[in-house]
Amino acid sequence: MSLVVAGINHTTSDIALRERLAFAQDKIPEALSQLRHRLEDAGVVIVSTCNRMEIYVNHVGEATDLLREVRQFISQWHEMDESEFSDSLYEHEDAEAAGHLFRVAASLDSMVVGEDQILGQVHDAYILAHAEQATDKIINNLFQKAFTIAKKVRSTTKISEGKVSISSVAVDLAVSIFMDLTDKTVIVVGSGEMSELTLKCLVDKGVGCVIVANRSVENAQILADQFNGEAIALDSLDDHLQRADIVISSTGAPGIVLHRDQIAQALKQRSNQPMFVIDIALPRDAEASINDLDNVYLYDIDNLKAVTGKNIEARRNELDRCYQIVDHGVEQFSRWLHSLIAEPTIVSLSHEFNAVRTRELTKTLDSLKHLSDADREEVEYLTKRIVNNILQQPMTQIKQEVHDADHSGVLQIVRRIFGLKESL
Amino acid sequence: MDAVCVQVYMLMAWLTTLSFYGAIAAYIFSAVVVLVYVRNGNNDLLSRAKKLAAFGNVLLLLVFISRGIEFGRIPFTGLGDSLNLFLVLCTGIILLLQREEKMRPLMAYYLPALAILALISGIFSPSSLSEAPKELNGLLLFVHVLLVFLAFALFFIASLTSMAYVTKAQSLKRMTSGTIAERLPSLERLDKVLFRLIGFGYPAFALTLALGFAWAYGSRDTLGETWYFSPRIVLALFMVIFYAFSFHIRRRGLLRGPKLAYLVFFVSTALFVMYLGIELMQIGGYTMGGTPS
Repeated sequence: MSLVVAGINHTTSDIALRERLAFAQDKIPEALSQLRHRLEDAGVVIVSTCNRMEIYVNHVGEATDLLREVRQFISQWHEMDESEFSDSLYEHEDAEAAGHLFRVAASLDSMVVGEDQILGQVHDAYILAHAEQATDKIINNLFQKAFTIAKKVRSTTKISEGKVSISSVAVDLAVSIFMDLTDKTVIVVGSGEMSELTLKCLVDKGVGCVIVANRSVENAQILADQFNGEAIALDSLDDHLQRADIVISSTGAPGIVLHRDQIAQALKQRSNQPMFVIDIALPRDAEASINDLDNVYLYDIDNLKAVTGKNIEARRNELDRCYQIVDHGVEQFSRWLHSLIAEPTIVSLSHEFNAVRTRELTKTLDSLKHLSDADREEVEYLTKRIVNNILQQPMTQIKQEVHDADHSGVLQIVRRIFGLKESL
Repeated sequence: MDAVCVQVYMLMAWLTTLSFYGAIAAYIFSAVVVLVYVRNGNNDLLSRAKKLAAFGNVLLLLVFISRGIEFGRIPFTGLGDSLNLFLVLCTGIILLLQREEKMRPLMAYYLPALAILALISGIFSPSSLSEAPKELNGLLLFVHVLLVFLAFALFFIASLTSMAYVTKAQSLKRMTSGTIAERLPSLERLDKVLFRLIGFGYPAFALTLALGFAWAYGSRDTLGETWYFSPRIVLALFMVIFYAFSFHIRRRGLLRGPKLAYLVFFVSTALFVMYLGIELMQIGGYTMGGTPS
């Protein structure tokens, strides 16, 4: 029995190759079916995201043969020559394959370490394979273990703490200042991809009112319409600034757009209620001394990048602890995988003993016809307890020996001693 | 029969002492646990610290009840007993605030302060209560003193909350990360909690002053006239004016945010320290709810 994984990810290939090797979600059931047909009902899961494509397979036989089959399948499915992707393809077997999946699910192998999307993607891939009846006992256990480990990594370490994108950091800061965003107003000054992204994150978080200010009201209206907002001309910004709890500024203007006096005036008009100014323009739109005003919190692009940088660093510092959890999980999984080798022997041992028990019990009960039904049940229960007690220690010991030593020797001896017929 | 009574009395006294020092230990441990939380950010520690403080609170309440039974009246007299009641009320308010998960990191500000008070209480542990004139045992005095303590507890927690506000605001201004400030609730929430605490404390305090006046006027034959100019009364009036002022400027939007939080913290702390000093030095016409000097 071999467990293998073959795949590519953002570290081994460029986006063009990843796009070519990706499996469309609606084609995955067919791919699973073809691979299982090829590998005679193997356990298979295909994980295909924008950053990785991986195929997990459990099947009888040698790992090398299995990996060759998987490579051929990828090549045929995507109509590519093996040489086009073989340099980017990584392959792992048994414990290493398990360790790889545990790291992927725990987001330790992601482009943004600690991001929370990958666990859902791996989960969806497994659910799909399970629904297609493409999984087996080992694959099921492997993925369940991966989910448990991923949750443990998240809950016991700080790997997913602190946001690592500019827009999400801006939203976190807004939440640090304001109790509830639903009654807050955000003014976007200028437009740009980053300001739009930040605005989207804030609206997703519940910001109630959006005002877009631009030199051209028509352009402002386009962005405002996306968020059911209000469009105003940049010239009239002063009239609306007092309404703004959050200001996102990202104009392409060469000079200062938001002056300290403007903000001070707005602050006075809004009875010193706090204001959060996000300046993501380059060159900066907001006068730096705005941050000296009480109740105004100004963050420019460098400040936001510094926060994301610190958060990324903090996540990296947690990696050792995460790897320890993964290693422990791999050890447990390997132990369980090894114990499966002893399973046929343990099952036949149990059958053998129970066959003897049933045979002798029948003989004895035939000669004790005066016993009531209740007494007969009691005697049968007694024999079961005796057999279970006798077998308990040998079975535990066999599992232990299989893990610690050369398992084929141990199992052969057990089979010889008890005359078990099933081959190894 | 007398021997049995003596034994029961001794057992109660022993259990009261044990509960008292157990409570102090619980408060100190809760502060230690919360300080470890400040360092490593493990949220489980917060619920442990909360449980320890709640346990200390229950023990102190038992001490309070036990001493009430022992002396046949409500034990307000003396610094040890006063601090115990103050701690019980403060902890109660904190536990009410901590019902919301987001508020829990505030315990990093509350519990060490309570542990210091518990230590002071341990030093001035409750001793035997002096006999009080019958005028001092009425319902009016009971309500008066209880409201004073409640208002003080609310103001005390408010001053600690204002410190948390200042820390959070500074952290946001200076863009520092990885500190306790990051885990605190939002500035707006802290501001709301701060002024809600003062909002509850202020009417309680104003009412208790009126009750105190009525009681003192009714007992003027026992108390004399000196209490009018007692430092405690002067401070109380100052507090009423200060909190009315802080409400006014906040409502008008003249002063908000860190500066107002600083003002609340420094004035509340100064008043509290002065009050404690007056109690320790026994200055004034009377001690808290006790015998007039």
